[in-house]
Amino acid sequence: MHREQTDEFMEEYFGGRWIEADFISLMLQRAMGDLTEESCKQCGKCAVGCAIPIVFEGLPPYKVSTKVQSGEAKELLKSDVIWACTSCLACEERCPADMSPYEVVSVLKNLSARIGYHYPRGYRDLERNVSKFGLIQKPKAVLARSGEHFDREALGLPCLQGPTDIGKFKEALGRLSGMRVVL
Amino acid sequence: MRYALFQGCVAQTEQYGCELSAREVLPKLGVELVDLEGSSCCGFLSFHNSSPIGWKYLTARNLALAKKLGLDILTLCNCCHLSFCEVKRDLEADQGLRKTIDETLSIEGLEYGGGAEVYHILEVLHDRVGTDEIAAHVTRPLRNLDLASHPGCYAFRPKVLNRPNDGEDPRKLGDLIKALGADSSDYDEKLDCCGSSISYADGEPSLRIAGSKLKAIKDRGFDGLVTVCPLCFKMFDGEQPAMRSLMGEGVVDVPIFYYTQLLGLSMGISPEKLGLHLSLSPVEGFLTNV
Repeated sequence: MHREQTDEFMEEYFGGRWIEADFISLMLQRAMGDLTEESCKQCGKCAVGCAIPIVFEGLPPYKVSTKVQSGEAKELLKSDVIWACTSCLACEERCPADMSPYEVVSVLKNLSARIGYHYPRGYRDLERNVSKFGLIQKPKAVLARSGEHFDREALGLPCLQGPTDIGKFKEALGRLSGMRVVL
Repeated sequence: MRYALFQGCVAQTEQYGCELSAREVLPKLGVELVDLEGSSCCGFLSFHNSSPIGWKYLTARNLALAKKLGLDILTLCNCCHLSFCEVKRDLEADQGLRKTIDETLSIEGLEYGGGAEVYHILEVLHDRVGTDEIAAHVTRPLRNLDLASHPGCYAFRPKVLNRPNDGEDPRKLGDLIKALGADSSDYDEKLDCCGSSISYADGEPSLRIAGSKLKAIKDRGFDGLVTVCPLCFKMFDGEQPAMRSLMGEGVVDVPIFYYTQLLGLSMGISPEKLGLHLSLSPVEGFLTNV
């Protein structure tokens, strides 16, 4: 599937229709090369360094990839599991087959967020703020141990203005983030 | 040495101890910092999840701003540093992406132009200033203390992106701590993640991840934890009450420091100038002893 066809596909996908497993495979392939049954031997090394199975009822990283291969991606896209990944990259570093469960999860997060299935509010707020004024939040007045509040000015830190022309910043970012391309 | 300072959103909007201490100590070591006017989020904590091209644009935009100033970037945040390195690689490898980004940058009158070089604060302190030079600036050595180093994931992963530290054995932060006169013993949990990136999605697992690490550090008898990354610090320093309510009283009770704060203390700079009055973890006992 080349770029033009992909864009047509994205039209359907943004229209709310279900994405085909092929399409997910394409996203994944763009991110990390071909993902086949041979890519992962399920040796479990990736799970050793992963904090999630210990503290949260998530899946070990390799099972995320096997679920995608067996056509269960839709279930993953709607679940909390992909958002429980801390992106620590330990799985990627430990994989003897150079397969990256982290990349798989990242692609699934992107898809889930863009489809609107599941995009945790915390992240959505950060993104909205960056779109509006360039930072994940406005500089805060922070509480010190004494109970007093301090902002940048009170601490003698320079007042940074963010993007110089916020209108152009929004135009540029909006043009790209709304772009219907694969990755 | 002269750099464009890229604090990153977390340091710039709430982790003021990070920026205060960096601005206080770096110039004394011959590192001049220039504000990067017009800078924005690098996109790593925001658009990275929903629009990879939006993320890459934001990072490329900051690189273009530094290039326009003719300066390399110094980052205080692990996430921003990874973001810069990853996007630089992608823009070099994918001319189509670079063209799209450059066309968009022109809306703001910017041009990627190869981007600026980017240095992590650990690289600047360890590789460029050097531990000998740092030790030469220490007037009040930190004696009889064993401080756990927490480099933070992206200070050593992924190996493919030429990180500030060795991927298996990140030693630079520990070496820098030792240059101040303190010990920094190795410990099994050193490479463990702080979990803060998922705090925006679900608080409890992230608190358990960070709390487990702090519990291990306390059980091993360390006098405190030292990091450079504002996102890691925010979790370890600010969330100890929440960790205690989840994991039990007394489990987590560890003073947390930015390396630049300890460096400043050992150079005789007052705690307040280093933002130590803003720390929420129990640092008073430590400060009294030092």
